[in-house]
Amino acid sequence: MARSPVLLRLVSLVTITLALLLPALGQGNVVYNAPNQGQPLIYYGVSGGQDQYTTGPAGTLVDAYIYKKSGGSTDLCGKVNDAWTDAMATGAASVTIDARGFPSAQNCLTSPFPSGAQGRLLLGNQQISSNVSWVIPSGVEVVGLGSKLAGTNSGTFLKASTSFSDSSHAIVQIGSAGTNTTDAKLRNLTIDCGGNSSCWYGVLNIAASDNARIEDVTINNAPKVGLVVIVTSTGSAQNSGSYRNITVSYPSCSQCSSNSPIGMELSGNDSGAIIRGVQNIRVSGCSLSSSPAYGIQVVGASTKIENTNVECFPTGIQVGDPSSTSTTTGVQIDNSYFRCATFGVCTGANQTGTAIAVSQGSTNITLTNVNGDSQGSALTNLITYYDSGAHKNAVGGVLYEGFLMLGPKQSISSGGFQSLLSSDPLGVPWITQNQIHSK
Amino acid sequence: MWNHDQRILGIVIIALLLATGQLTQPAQLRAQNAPAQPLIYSSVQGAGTTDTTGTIIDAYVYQNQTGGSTEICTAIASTWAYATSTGIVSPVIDARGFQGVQPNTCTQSPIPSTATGKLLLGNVAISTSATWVVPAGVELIGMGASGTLGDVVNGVPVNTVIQGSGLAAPIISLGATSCGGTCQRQVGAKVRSLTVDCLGVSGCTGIENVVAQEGSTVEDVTIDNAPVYGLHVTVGPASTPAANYSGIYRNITVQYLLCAHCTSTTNGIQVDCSSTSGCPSTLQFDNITASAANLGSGVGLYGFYIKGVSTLLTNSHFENYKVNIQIGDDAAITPTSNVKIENVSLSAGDVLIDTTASDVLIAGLSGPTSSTLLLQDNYHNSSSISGMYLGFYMLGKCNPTSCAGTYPAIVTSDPGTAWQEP
Repeated sequence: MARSPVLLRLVSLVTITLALLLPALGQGNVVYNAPNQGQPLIYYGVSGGQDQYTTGPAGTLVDAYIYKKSGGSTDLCGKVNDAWTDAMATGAASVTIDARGFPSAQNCLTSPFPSGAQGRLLLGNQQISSNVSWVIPSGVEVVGLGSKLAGTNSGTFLKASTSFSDSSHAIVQIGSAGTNTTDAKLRNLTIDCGGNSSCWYGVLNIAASDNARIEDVTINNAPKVGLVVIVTSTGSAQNSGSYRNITVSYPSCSQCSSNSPIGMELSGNDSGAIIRGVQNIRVSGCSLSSSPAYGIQVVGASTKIENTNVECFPTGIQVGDPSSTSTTTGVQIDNSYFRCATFGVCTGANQTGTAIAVSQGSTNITLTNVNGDSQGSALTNLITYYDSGAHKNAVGGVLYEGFLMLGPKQSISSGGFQSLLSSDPLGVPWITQNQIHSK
Repeated sequence: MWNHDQRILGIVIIALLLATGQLTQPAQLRAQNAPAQPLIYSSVQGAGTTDTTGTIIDAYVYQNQTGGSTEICTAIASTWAYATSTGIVSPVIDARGFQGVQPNTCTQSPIPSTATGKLLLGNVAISTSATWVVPAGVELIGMGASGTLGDVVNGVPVNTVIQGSGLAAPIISLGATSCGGTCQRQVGAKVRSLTVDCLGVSGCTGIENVVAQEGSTVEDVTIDNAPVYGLHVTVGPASTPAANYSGIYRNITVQYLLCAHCTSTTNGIQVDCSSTSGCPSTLQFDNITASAANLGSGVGLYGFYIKGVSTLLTNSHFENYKVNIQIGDDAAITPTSNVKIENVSLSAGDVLIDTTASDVLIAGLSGPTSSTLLLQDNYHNSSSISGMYLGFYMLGKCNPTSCAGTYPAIVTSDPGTAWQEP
């Protein structure tokens, strides 16, 4: 057979062209089997030589970054709200909204939570500037990627924008006032007032009760109070908690000098309602240039605070209102550690004078394992309290106090005594029923 | 040597192979597109790829893809069996795609008895006539508990709900007792973020742990309408498989929305010892709520019953049981020692320390009114304390040589109770 260079070249050209084109055409023939917008693709095998993909049922897990609603919002909160609204419209009651895909810098102009929302919101490695307060409703859990590390853009970071304004003055509210909120949760992120003068509080819970929880959260630069929890007998944060793994600090608080910051305030009307465990708390005022008030203050609320570290506050933990005789009953503080300021330095506006101060109206108080810093300058007092004669006393020296237990105050006709039990060998004697035991 | 036509034919064949991708990506791509696994975009592979076969498998898609059972438990079990058949020891089985009230009742536990890994459940209500056994090394994770929001509202489940269907047994049991042979020691069995509902069926317990030990936890769980126990934990002597060193048990709500067969012996949570000698194993329960408020008068015995086990109970609330917290064997057989209760509020029901309990520390007990009966101590001269608050109450033990005529040490903030030296 005679050779045909032209034919050879032609066949080669055609086949090479096909070789280049067909794979691309093949990719275009991928089959999507009943996909739902914004949901992860799942491999569904091969049919007719073509790869098949599908998704879970509508509303299962919606990626808010990918999800596009016609005429919808463009900022993170608006897109989350759109995705959540449409997911609920499919009939799903509790949806997972995945907002981890949004890149670092984000703005929020409106609330991310539509009315009636339930489920879980996942946040990613984002620095979110919010104009509005995030009010977490019943049945919603907000989960970040973790607290921000100092000096980096790591984790999930929610701060008040320069346009932030809300009557609550809080960046995040657990439940909204006037509602019977339950099961509202916040986890794994950093909250920051960001120097906005309208932002007073980091997180506020005055409305969410059972199963309302905060865990693994850092609260920065809140000029009035980092975390506020208020309990009354009904319609508030009674039985809420636990509040666990929380850090309150002030790395750059431009509004703090005109306020006297409190790290955490747990307050109420002494109604017998409890705040569930406050656990693993660190409050540091060491970066403040002006004098703060208290690391933690408990007024009129019954609770247990355990495994805490408070530093650089004139009073580490204040139990009761020192300016009045209002009552605070049923507070336990277990395994706490206090220090002045930077090791070896215990002077300046924010030095810690007293680790735990118990006010005159406080009763049924149990303090165990109270520890002061053993390095550098010592605290002035470890514990101060008022005796039955309204005299202020100090116990525990400056380093350790095993236990101090104060009972209720009896009426004057019953002797006016307040039972007291202390491990301090140099402190006041024990007081039992109307009887002072000499040491 | 090939002739000209053979060379042309060879070029055509090679080009066609290239065109259909047989010499470039498809074989590799298909090998890495594992059934029912999420696609990850890959610039090298083109359209996408998956992780290693068996790593994380969508059970909803897998059952659709393979034409398997539409009953969720069977579908999960089949998915898990497939995943482990690939050589993956601990897969993630994602069953979040099953949504809403499931039409078919589960007749088997979805988790193979020798499985390890994680099972994810979504916004779903599952009816089961078989106990779900969570074996060692398995974590069962839902979308969340229903809490006080209700289990299924207007036909729509709130988060993740597992309901008994005529089930006169535990709905969930931690630890496997039957593994087709000898089970390995049961550790690390975990349940999180879901609701179990007995629907008031007689003989039903919400969650039980009688064999799973350290690392075995129950967290963020609501237990509804359990006529026997909401949560039952049994520890035992060291030689006996039991729930020794298990926990923590945290963020648990026991409640009764509609419980036709709850009785005067219904308990919210019971912690007991399989030996009449008592069990020194320590357990912790934190952030527990048990409410018998919706039960009729005389229904609901103990909110929290501690019998023979050293237990720490913190940050909790109990209401409307005959006795909200019972410390000690009510049959006065098994001794109970080292019980610590802190920051607990009560309503309509007190703490009872029975005659076989000793070494008890209570701090931060509160009730709604000044007349609330907070504590009754049968071990110590049947003394009782009422009020809104009890700051502290510490009870020792009687003289070990003879308890006759002696009382244990007692220190309390209650002004009406005399302190007692040992």
